[in-house]
Amino acid sequence: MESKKKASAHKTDWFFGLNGTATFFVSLVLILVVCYINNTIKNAVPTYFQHVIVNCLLNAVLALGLNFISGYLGQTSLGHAVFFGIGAYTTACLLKYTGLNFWVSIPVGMIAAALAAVPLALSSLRVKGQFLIVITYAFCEIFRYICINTPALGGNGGLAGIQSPLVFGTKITKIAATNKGGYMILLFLMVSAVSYFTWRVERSRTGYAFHAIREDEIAARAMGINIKYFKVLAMMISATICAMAGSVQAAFATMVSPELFSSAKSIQILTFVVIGGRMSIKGVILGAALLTILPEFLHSIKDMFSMSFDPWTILYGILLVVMMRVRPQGFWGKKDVEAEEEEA
Amino acid sequence: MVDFLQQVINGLAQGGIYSLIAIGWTTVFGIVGIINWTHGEIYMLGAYAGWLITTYAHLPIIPSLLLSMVLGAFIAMAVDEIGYRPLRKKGVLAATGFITALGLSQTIRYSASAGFSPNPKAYPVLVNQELITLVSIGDKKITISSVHLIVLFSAVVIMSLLELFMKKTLTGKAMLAASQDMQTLRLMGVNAESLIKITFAISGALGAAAGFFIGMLYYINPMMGALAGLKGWSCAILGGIGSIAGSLVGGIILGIVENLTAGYISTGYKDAIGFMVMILVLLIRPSGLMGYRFEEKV
Amino acid sequence: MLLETQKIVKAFGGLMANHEIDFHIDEGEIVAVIGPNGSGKTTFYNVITGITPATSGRVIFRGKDITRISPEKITSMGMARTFQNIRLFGNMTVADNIVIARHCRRNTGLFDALIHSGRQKKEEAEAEEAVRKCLDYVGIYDKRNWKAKNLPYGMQRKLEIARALATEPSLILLDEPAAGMNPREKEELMEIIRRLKEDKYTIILIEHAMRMVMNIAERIVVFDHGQKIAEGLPREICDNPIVIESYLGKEDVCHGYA
Repeated sequence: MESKKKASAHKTDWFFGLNGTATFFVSLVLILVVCYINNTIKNAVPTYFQHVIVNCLLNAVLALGLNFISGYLGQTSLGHAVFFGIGAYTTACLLKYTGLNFWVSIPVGMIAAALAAVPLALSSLRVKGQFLIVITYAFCEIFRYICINTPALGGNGGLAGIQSPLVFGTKITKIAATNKGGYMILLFLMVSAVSYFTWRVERSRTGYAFHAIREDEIAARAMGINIKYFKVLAMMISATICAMAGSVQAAFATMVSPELFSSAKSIQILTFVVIGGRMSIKGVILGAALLTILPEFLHSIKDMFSMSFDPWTILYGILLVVMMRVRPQGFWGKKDVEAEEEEA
Repeated sequence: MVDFLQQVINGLAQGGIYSLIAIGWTTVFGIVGIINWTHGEIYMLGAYAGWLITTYAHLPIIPSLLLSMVLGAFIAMAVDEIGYRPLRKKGVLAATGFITALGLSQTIRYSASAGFSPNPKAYPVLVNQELITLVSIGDKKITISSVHLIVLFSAVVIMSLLELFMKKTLTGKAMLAASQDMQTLRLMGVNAESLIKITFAISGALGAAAGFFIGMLYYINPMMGALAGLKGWSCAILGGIGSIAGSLVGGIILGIVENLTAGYISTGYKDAIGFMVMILVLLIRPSGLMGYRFEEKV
Repeated sequence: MLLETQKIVKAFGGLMANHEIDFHIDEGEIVAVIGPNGSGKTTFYNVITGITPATSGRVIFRGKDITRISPEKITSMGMARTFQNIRLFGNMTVADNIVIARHCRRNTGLFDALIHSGRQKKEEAEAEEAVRKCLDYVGIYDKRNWKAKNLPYGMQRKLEIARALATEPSLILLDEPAAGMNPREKEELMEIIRRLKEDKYTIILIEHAMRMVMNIAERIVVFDHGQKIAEGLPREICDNPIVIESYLGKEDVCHGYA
């Protein structure tokens, strides 16, 4: 009887459930091997393929970032592209205008995003549910307009020509022959670090506070949880993680544009989390990977049949509708844990 | 001063269109309790319906408008049938409705883009563009374009008819009651499902009308739904959710403010102003200008 | 005096939910608050616990004015409550509900969590101990891995009490703990409250089950229309004509218990 209703909380390890540390090292070795092969045999792994892997990892970082808000805190945010964009623009501006080191620009971007997170978090104290979604969306759009209208930020065209970062004096693009290897390793380490962090926080005092706020704010306050503090904290954590991804994005693409702030990006990040499975570390990473690879695959169909439109954009919507009907908790989400939006 | 008044007048027609969109949002929110994120897409489809009718069937303005409104109503009902009703039945609308709506609008938007091509389209000339002088002060004149005047007038007429429908007919009264308490209404034997369908139909018809009017003023494209939809929502929030008069006022205010922003600050920030207004209203006075507030019971 | 309120007024618009309520409770006492529905009992709790601060008047807890202090601070000062309409963390396990309640007695931050510091380990051990102790107290330790929302109703009410205990309070406010319980569960609940009394907890109890109130309470306060209309020993309350008029009714509900 007991086992039937038992909730399997906190059984998974930090990296992909099984044995976290072992999985981490196996994956790391795998990536290094790929880089090594690529180094010895030119273009053993096509550049395009590497590009997709980098994007998967980048999106995984973003999804893990949003997971703090849309997973643990149970708030839907349509504004996380803001933090991604702030990270990217901070890195771009610092590299272009001050000639600062890339690695220094990452924490600066994180701090900038954390500051931007405060007003958004404070509005989540006053406004809930669907209204909060609207606010986050509007927040993101406003940032986009600011970027478009500020000449120093490059306006509509954005900023281009960002230098690649150096690793011990070597350009990151030179690390593994083709220019993606270094980013692959860097982003893999980032995903791992954020996963470990998430896993540790989930079962800490802070994590329990997030859970409590999601389940019932008034009861949480009665338990002595300062919801103002923890909502701001969650938003800041979330923002800094997304900003980190933004910094790498800026260097990787060697340019930034206002499109980084587009609502399409925000929606994309949100669907990684929702389709993958809220609150599941493995889920959001795989969700990001799935939703990065699938469109690439469908792009190739478009080219194959020389269609005039992109079938992915339409299928994407249908996938969301079907998913909500059939499996609302996401592919890898814990069953029965609906991040129930409080009715506004 | 004259310039200022001219800017205000120029914003009126756009404001009327925002009002129509806003009412579509607010009626559905009041009765079904969700923000219908597909509303902007219904508006876009309404504009395309109007474009098809006027370009290919060569119908005059009033029948074209009515026809696109009917189409809009059916599209909105279809959206409810496919997207929301199954979730409502399962009782998980609040948690999953938003993602569903997101998916639906994505599908509608890109299907339209595939079907109508992403290139902007223009309506044929339905009314002659003339500048009508309202007042002349010295050698300066305050004018309004005939198209603007017709759009504004029609928008106000449609809203008055809706107000009349809500106040005078039994269905309208039931809808007003439903926005207060759906549960009680169900217990009193009102068929909630059909009421919801009617709500969606009205919302869709108004959205399509707004789309038709925008087509008379500007080029239309398949991506225009997202921004306009959200602006409509800003107006609904500004005016106070659940209030038709509020939506009208909110829409007109936003139309004028946008024009003034473009005229006196920067055209670049014209579209952003609506969002700023919305955030401020939600944070400072969530009930808007004419709405009521909700409180949670402990 | 552990808790004292002076002329508490709570107005919602024109409605006086609480009007000039003077109340006090001493350490180790059990006081029952009774009165018809809508007489302002739960509002009174919300005012004391800081969830909806008083319009005017003062609340003094352990000699400190807490009228304008936030509910989370008040909880960490040693006041805990249960909710009339159960407010558990439904999707969390029963054990997790207790761990969450330990929040105000823990002080590790993100950094401790990240390096899994000694402090963190110590707190985790303490939390585990609290889970065992608090759940044993109300007799639902064997259900610790259930999801809270899957518990039967009576057990949910018990979990609410266990959760309140986990915050290490000196004063516990119970809001209709027996509502929806069957007679056997009510009996068990009375046993729990008696044990709380033996363990030197101070308790304020809102309850409609008069048998329970008469059995347990040392003093009774009667509310009606947001005002305190009577106060006294159970015996006195039973014989008070005003109380009989407004709440107890003509029937002899309490004789034989008090």
